[in-house]
Amino acid sequence: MEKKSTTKKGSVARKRRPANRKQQRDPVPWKAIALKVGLTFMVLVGAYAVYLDAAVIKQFEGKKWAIPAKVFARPVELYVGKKITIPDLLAQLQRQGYQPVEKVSRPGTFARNRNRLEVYSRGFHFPDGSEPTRRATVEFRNGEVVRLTGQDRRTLPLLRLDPQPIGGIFPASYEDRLLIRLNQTPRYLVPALLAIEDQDFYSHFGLSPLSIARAALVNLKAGEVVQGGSTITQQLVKNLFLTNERSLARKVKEAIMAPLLELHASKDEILETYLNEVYLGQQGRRAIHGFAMASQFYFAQPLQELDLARTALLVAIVKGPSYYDPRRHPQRALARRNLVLDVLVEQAIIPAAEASRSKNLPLGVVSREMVSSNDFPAYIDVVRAQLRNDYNEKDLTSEGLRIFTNLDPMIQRKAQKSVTDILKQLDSQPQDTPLQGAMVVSSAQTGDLLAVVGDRNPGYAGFNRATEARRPVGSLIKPAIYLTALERPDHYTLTTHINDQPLKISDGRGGYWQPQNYSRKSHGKVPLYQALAKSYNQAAAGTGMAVGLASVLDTLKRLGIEQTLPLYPSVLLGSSSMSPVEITNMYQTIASGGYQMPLRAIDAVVDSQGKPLTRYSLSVERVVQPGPMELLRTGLGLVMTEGTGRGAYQYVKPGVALGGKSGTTNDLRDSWFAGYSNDLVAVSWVGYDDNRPTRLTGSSGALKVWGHFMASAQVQPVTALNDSNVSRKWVNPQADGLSRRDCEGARLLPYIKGSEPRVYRGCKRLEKVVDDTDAVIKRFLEWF
Amino acid sequence: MVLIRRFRGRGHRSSLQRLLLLVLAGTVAGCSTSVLMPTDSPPALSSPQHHDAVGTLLSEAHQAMVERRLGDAEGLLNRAMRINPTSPEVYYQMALLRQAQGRTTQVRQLAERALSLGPNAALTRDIKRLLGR
Repeated sequence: MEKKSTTKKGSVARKRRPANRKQQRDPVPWKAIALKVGLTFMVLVGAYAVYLDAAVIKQFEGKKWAIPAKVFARPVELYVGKKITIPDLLAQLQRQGYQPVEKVSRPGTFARNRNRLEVYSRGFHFPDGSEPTRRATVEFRNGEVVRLTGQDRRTLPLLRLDPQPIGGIFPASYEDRLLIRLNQTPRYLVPALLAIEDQDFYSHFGLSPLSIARAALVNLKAGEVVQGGSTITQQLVKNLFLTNERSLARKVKEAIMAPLLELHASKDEILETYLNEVYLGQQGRRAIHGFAMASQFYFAQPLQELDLARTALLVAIVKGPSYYDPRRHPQRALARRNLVLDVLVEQAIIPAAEASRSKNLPLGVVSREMVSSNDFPAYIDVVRAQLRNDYNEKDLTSEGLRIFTNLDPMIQRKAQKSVTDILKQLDSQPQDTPLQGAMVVSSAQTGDLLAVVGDRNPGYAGFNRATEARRPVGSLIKPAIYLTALERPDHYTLTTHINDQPLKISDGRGGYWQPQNYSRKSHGKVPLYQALAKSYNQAAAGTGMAVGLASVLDTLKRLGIEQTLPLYPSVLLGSSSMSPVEITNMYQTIASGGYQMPLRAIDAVVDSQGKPLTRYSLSVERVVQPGPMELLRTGLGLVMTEGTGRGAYQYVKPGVALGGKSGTTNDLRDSWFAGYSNDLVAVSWVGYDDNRPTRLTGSSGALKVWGHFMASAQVQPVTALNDSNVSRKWVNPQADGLSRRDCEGARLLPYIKGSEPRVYRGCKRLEKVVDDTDAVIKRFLEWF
Repeated sequence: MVLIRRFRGRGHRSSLQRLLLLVLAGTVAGCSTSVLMPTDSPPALSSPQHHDAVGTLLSEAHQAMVERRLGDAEGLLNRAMRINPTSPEVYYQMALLRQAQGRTTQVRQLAERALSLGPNAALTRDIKRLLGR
């Protein structure tokens, strides 16, 4: 069968040969080929479209962006009794984009009338609930709020402003954006955007030949490129799924994907995504995406508050954020903004008069410094370090978390100003590597970290000296020695005479340690408080050895020094290196009256929906009994009034009780001052990065920064601790005996009950003349 | 909080609120924040009578604790503490909050801190009761 059949087939083939020859001579069957190729092409395009469709669905319906965590400063709260000056509040309002107006009528505005300020605050969702917008009148007197009334003229207990954004934790792409809903946009944003970018948006299917033709016509008329031909859908497809590459292949992809996107998403979804995606500016590595972020970036205002002129400017920038950068090319940006306004009039979106009014307005762009994404880099460093203990990097850079910190922007600026200004004064001559400084400020009673300065230059995001520079701390350690002693009232009181004399101690490493006083003189027997106030090294070292090195180290640990210090005698005079933040921990415990509390940079973290995730709550632990702590605090108060800290009163009003201690290291390489008021703890350090001698003591360097800051912060005086176990006696300290109030040199000093002097020593002043002379000369020299 | 629990068990919501107000009034009476709260006819907690900042926040925090919104209560007490960081009333309320959160070590520490800040006689009694003295 097969053979037969084959033969048959062969004969048919032979018979048909002439016909085949004829066919070969016929023209090529283009139609059939075209059909086949066309079909194949369509199948391929179809397959490719299915592939692209899957990509569109996956990317558009999934998470579109990595939203960086936003970091906020502590909000300004106003209430009767709040210490704040009008200029400080005005500066803060303007930094937050509040607009000065004649009469307030909308959120984000304020009007000043002499000592009265009318503020229309913005609403904000805080971790503890929502704060509504409020229209309030604030009256000031002598740097204090004396009256706060609401819109109904009734007393308002509190006015909480929205918090200032102070930075973000960015993903590797450094894209920064704030998401916004379509219905949250200002009145003219969408009409203006569609008028300029895509007039047929709501009627086309993703591509619009009409738009291309119209854009060509408009551009021809204007003599420049005013409109683009790509639809908003195409632009979004390009931004979301494709690269900026200018190629036919990309254009084809875009042309296929745009209708696909239209198939899957509604027009409003596409528009909303576009509003959040569009690239609108650059600040260093940080790329500004979306209108909401751009509004903060250019105007420091929420998008909802933008007027017509500002809305038009943002729409104008879409075409070329770099070319029309309103900060670098204000004339170009102004011309294009006005062009946008003209188009709006042409399209009857706004009346000509309104456009004309808007054209007369300036651009309204705030300075780059005012909206810096990282104005307080040293503080953000601390926040980031704390967050990394609790969150993974991916969540921080992509989940849109909101971090509420304890940074007080006004305190931070004052601290930075003190470091910057005083270091300028201290610079003896211009040098290649200038004198550097750092400062840390916290709330004395709660441990809230209020300010961190890591460099003399504001906004410098490099080496953070407040956290990373570990330097020998010198005499800052001495309060721990004397506290250890004062916790033994049977042996030590503030007036116990201790020996300031040469001593030779085995250094624990086979040699000897022979500490010297700064003046190279020994003072013999001196009351304990005086040794502390005048920072006598030999007295401190002797007392430290007497109470035991291990006990002093234990006290340091209780006070908040977490690092393990070596059991060497030189630790008693601060040979160990610590950072300003570590020292703040230690003085925080003293400032709070003996309670150790971790410094808290973060108050709370909430997710992108406002749901609280973590609250960094207050926790306290009493580590020193109030009696000895009150004695130590009295001694540290005397440091300020008659010891190495008295220079502070060149800045702070005399009479404001403060406590503190200076620190100077070998060869004057480090200048420290740590101290507190009733409300603030501040630690300042001054030195060179290369560890050169500074020619500054703690008193002639860091104390000036500290004093300057404390004066500007309007601090509250230190008050005595309540303790029924402490009694106060008028004493003759030089004789360590009781005295009378009217005696010359008599002092009222606290004693742990049972340890008071018992013998009356009269009025006689036994202080050595040589000490007085020494003190006067030192006091004079310290200021040069 | 002991009293709160007892009354919650009986289901007397309005009585509970009234009692809480009395307790709150007792704890803050005569304090530096001049809380204006008559003890004979206490108003509803939702419309606090306090006109000063700390008093208002304390009332709101207390209300949040009653409603078991402990996170909100913490935020409100933190705000009160920032305004007046040496107010014994605020530390006492924070100690009560820690008790509600089951953080017993902190109850003692915060109550001791409240005592160290010179509370008035009525508040001293409440704090000592909390400390079991």
